[in-house]
Amino acid sequence: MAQVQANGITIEYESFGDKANETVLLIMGLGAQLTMWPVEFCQELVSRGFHVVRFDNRDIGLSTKFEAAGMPDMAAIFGALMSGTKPDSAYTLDDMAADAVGVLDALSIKAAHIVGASMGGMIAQLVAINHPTRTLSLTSIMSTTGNPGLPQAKPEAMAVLMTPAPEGDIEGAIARGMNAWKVIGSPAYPTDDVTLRQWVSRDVNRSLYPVGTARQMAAIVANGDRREKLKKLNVPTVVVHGEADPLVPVEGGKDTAANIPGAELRVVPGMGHDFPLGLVKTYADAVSSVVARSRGAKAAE
Amino acid sequence: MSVDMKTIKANGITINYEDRGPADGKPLLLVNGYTSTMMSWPLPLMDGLKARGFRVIRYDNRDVGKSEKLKGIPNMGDVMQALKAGTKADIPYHLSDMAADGMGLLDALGIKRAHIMGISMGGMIVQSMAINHPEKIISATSIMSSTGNPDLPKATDAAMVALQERPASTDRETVLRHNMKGRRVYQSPAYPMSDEALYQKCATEYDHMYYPEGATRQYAAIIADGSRVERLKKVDLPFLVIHGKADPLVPVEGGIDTAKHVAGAKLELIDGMGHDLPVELCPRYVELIADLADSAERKAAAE
Repeated sequence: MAQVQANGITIEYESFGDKANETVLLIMGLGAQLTMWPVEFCQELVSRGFHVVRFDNRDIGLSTKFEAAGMPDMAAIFGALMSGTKPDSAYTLDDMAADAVGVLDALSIKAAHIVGASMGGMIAQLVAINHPTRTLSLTSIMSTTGNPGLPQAKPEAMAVLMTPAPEGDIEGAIARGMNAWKVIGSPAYPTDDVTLRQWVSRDVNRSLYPVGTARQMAAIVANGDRREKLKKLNVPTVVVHGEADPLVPVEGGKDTAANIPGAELRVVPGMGHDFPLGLVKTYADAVSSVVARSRGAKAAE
Repeated sequence: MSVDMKTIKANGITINYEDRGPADGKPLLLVNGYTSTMMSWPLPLMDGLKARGFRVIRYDNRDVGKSEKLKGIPNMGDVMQALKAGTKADIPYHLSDMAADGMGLLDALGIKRAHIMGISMGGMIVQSMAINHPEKIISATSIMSSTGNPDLPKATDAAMVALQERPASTDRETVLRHNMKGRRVYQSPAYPMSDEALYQKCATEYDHMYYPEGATRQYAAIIADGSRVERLKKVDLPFLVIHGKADPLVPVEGGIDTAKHVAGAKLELIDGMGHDLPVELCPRYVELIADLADSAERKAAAE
C-alpha cells in the first residue's frame, strides 16, 4: 500500500483499522511476506478495536533488498546451525528489530503490541529486549529462544527449509511453496488446495526473491541464544505454539515462555507451522489476553 | 465480534461462513454481491447490527471466496435465447440455486427463520429467497439492487467498464490498483473513501480469495433470471428497499421498481450514495434494517 523510510531502508507496509486505536504490529517469519498474515486475522483484530500494521521485513516482498550482500554461504550457515556457532551475516536480527521500530517511528506510533511469528517471533523478542519503551506487550508465535539444546526441526521440515524456491521460476516456486506448507502446516487444520494455491501464487507473483531468504536465515543463526536477554524482560508476554509444529518444535515455545518472566504459554493441539484460518480466533484470543494484561499492568502503575 | 470462519455442507455444496453470534440474537443473513466475498461487509455495519440484537451470519456465495467453486462455461447466446423463449437456460446454476445456498446454510445452522439482507446481486438473491422460500424469512432488505426489468435504465458506460474490465495481470498490486480504480467509479460521491481505506478493502477481499473465474457463471445466473417483476408481486413479507440516488452501476430506478412491485415495501432513497456501503451511512442502514425487523417481529407475534 505504502512505503516508509525506516531505519535507513524502505519498508512496505499495510495497515487496517482506525489509527486512533492501539496498534498491533505484526512481524512475519523467514521468507514470508506481509500477506502471510491472513486478512481474516487482521480484520478480527480490527473488530476487537485495534489498529493493525503488517509489513515486509528487509530482503523480502516490496521492502529493500540487500542485493549487494550477495548470496550467503549456505553450507557455512547450515554448518553453523548444526554446530551452534555463528556464521557471517549481512545484517542481524537486531537490525530487523530496529526496522520494525522504524516502522512505528515513521507512522508516529509511540508504542505497540508486538506480535511475531517464527523468525518474526524472534524479532518481536528483540523489539521487546532492545526497545522496551516501544513495546506494550509481546506475542511470540511458533518461535524459539535460540537455545542450542532444543530439539531440531523434523528432517522433512528441515528439508523444506533448506530447499530454496527456484529463482525466476514462478510455477516451480508455486509447487515448492504448496509442498512446503503441506509439510509444515497444521495437521488438525488443513488448508484446502484452492486456498493454498491462491496464497502461494499471490505471494510468488508479488515478489520472488529466494536469496533474501538465505540472508535472513543467516541472521537467525547468527543471533544465537537469546535466553539471558529474555530473562531480563519485563513486559506482558504470551507464547503461542503448535503442539504439532515440525519446523520449530513446541519445545521452542516452551523454552521462550520459561525464560520470559511471567509469560503465559498457550500450546495449541493440532497446530503446525502455519496460519490456518480455523485458528484465527485462537491467535486473536492470545493477543487479546496479553493486551488485557498490559492494560491491567498500566492501570496498576 | 470475530472472524470465525467455518465451512459447512449446505444445499449440497461447501459454504464458507461466519456466525458472529450471539446464539440468542435475531438471525440475520448477509448476502453478497457479484464476485464480492463475505469479507467486504463494513465492520461498523456488522457491529451496529449486533448492537441492535442481531446474530449476523455472513458467507461466501458459491464460486467466490472460500465456498465451493463450480464448473462449466455458460453460453450467453443460449441464455439470451432462453430468455426470449421464456424457457430455463442451460447454465451451470441459477440465481435460485444461490438463494437455496443461503437457505441451506440456515438449515445447516438449525435456524428455522431469519431476517435476510443483500446488496446488488445479493439483493437479487434476497428477492429470490423471498419468492421461493417465504416460510423461512421474517423480513427482507434489498440494497442497491434491481428487479431485472428490461425497461429500466442501464448502468453508465464507465460503471459497466469498471465492473467488467479485467486487470492487466493477476499479481496482487496490479489487481488492487485496478479494483481501487473501478470502485472509485461507482463509489458514493458524497462519501468517498480515503485511498488507504480503499486499499485496505481491496486487499482484504483479494487476500481472502482472488478467484475471477467464478464471475462468468455468476453473471450468467443474473442475466438468466430475467425479470422478477411478476414473481415479486406475490411476495408477502416485510420488505425494505434501500438505494443510492447516485448509483451509476444499478441506477436508482432499480430500487424504485423493486419497492413498487413488492406489496407494502418500504423504499428508502439516500442522497449521495453510490454503489457501495460507506461507513458514514452504516448507522442509518442499521436503523432502517433493525426497525424493519422489530416491526416484522411485532407483527409476527401479534398473529
